[in-house]
Amino acid sequence: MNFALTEKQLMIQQAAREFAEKEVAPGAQERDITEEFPMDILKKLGDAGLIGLQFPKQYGGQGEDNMSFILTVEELCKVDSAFGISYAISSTFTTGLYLFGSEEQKMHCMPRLSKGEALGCFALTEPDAGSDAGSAKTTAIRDGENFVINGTKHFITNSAEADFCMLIANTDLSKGAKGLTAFLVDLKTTPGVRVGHIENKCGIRSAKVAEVIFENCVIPSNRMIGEEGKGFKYALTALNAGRLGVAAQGLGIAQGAFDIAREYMKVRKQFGKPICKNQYLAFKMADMETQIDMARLLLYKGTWEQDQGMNFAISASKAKLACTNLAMDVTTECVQNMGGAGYMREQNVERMFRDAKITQIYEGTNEIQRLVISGDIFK
Amino acid sequence: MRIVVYISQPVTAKGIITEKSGQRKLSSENIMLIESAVRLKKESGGSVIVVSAGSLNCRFFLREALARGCDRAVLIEDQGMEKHERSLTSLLVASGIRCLGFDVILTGYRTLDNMSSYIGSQIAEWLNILQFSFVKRVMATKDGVIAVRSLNGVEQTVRMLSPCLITLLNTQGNTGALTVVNVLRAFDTEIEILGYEEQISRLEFCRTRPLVKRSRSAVIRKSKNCERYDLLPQEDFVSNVFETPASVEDAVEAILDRLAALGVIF
Repeated sequence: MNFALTEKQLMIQQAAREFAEKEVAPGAQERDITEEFPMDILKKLGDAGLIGLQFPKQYGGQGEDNMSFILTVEELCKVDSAFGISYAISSTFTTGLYLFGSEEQKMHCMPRLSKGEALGCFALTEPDAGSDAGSAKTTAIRDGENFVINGTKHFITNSAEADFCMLIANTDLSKGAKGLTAFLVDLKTTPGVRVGHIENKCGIRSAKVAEVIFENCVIPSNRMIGEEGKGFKYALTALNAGRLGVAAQGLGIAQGAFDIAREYMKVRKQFGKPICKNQYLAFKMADMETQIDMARLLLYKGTWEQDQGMNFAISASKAKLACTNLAMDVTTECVQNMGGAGYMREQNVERMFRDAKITQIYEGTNEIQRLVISGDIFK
Repeated sequence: MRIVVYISQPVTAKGIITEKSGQRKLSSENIMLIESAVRLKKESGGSVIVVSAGSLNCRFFLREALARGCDRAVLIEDQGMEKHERSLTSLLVASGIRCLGFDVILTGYRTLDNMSSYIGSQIAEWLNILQFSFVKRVMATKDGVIAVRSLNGVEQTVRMLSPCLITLLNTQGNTGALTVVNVLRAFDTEIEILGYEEQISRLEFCRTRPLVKRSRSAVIRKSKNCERYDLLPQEDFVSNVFETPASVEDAVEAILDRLAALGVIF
C-alpha cells in the first residue's frame, strides 16, 4: 500500500500553495468584511492552470486526476475557505455537466470555466426542500420546443456571480423525486431568471449565497441535461464529488488554523516561557494533529476510490463527516489556545472558526451523512 | 539570449538530500536563481537551460526547475560529487556548459563549498569568460547584462558583454513561478544526462585555445564611493592560478601547489 502522493501531485500541490499564499491570502481578511468575491483572482487561478485539473484537455481542463483537484481545494481553503469553496462548488457544477451533459453543453461552459472567466453554481435547495431535496417544487413545463420554469431556489452558493447554473426542476410533480430533471441555465443572459436576496452570513462571507428566482423563464429543450426524470440521480452523483470538495475545505480550514495557532504558541510567552511548553496545551495540539492526519487519510482514500472509478459515495460521506467536524473542533480549540488574540480578526483564526460551521451543514448536513453511512452499515 | 543556470544539490547537515530522504523541494537560493534567469529570458528573449551536477537522484530537483519556467534541464552525472575536490567539480560543470553553448551563466553563492561561491568563479575561469560575483540584481541588455553588486557597503553597477558569468546573492526575492501548465510541461520534457565518461572525453577543451579572448573592459557606471574593486580576493587567486593551463593535470597540480603554499592542508 503506497500512501505517498506522486511527484506530479506534489508539484501541483506546491503550485496551489504558492498561488494561495501569494494571491489569495493577502486580501482574505478584507474580503471577509466587504463580502466581495475576487473574480480577478479567479482569472489568475485559471491562468495558472489550477481550474479544471480533473477534466480533459479538450474541454479546457488539464487532464489530471481528482486528487490534484482536492489538493488544490485544501491549499486554497487553508488561507481563504470562502474563495476555496466557491472554486469547489463551481467544480461540482462542472462535474455534473461533464458526466451527464451533451457535447454542445460542455463546449458552451467548460472552456470558459477552466480559464477562470466564469463561475458555475448548483441550484437544488428550496425554502421547503433542504435535506429533503427530492421534494423540490420548482417546475419546468414543456411548451413545444421549450421548457417554462417557475419557482425559487435559495441558499445557492456562487449564484450572485455565476454565469451558469445546473438547475434541478420538476417536469412532473406527480412523480415526486423521480420527476426531477436537470437543466443548464445561463443566469446572466436568460430572460425570466434573476438573483434575489443575497444572504448575510456568519462565515464564508465573500462567497455569494443568494436566491435564484425563475418567473416564466423560457429555455430551449436542448438545455435539458441528460434524460428527463433523472435529475435527482444526477444531483446525488454530482453531490458525491462535491462532498469530497467540502471535506477538503474542512481539512484546509483545520490545517490552516492549526498552523497559525502552532506558530503563535511558540512565540507567546506567559509565566516566563512560551505557552507551547505547557503540557496541557501541547497535548491538545498533539491530539489535533493526530485527528487532522486521520481525516486527511480518509479524504485521500475517498478521492483515490473516485480516481479508480470505484463507488466512492460512502467514503465521500465519511470524509465529509470527519473533516467538517474536525474543522469545527480544531478551530474552536485553536481560538481557545490563542486566548484573547485568537478572538480578534487580525489573527484570522476567528474567521476560520466562523467559516467552519457551514461545512457541517451544506452539501448534505452531517446528519444526512450519518443517514447514508448507517444505511450502508445496516443494509 | 541563451541563459544557463547552475543549481547546486541541496545539502543538510546530514548530507545531500536525495529522493528517498523525503525532502523534495528546491532551496530558496535555487528558486531565486531560476526566477532571475526566467526574468532575464522575458527581458531578452531566448531560453533558459538549468544545469546541475551529481547523481541521478537530483533529477527531481531539475524537474521542479523545469516547472518553474526553465526550457531545458541537463544533469551532469557525477556519482561521488560531494567527495570531490571543488576544482574537479567546477571543471566537469564547465565542460558540460561549454558543450551546451551559452551567453550568460548564473550561479548562486550557497554551493557545496560552504557558501564561498568558488564554484561559480572557477567555472568562469575554466571557460575563460568575464565574471562578476556578489550580484544582487541583474538586467538584460542587447549584448550582455547589467549587474549590480553590493559588497562591504559599496555598490557597483557594471555592464558586461556576453559570454559572462554572474554569481547572485539571495536578495532578489523568492516568488517562484510554479504553474500547473509548467508542471505538466516539465513532466513531458526529458532531462538530458551528460554521463561521466562523456564528460572525461570533453575535458580536452582545456588543451585548446581559450573560448573567448579575455577582456577586462567592463564599464563602471556608478559607485557609492570612489573605491574600485577590480579583482576580489578569490578572483585574484583563481586568475593567478589559471593563467596558462597547459593541461588538466597541470591545472590541478597548480591548484594543489598554490593551496600548499597558503598552508591549506587536505
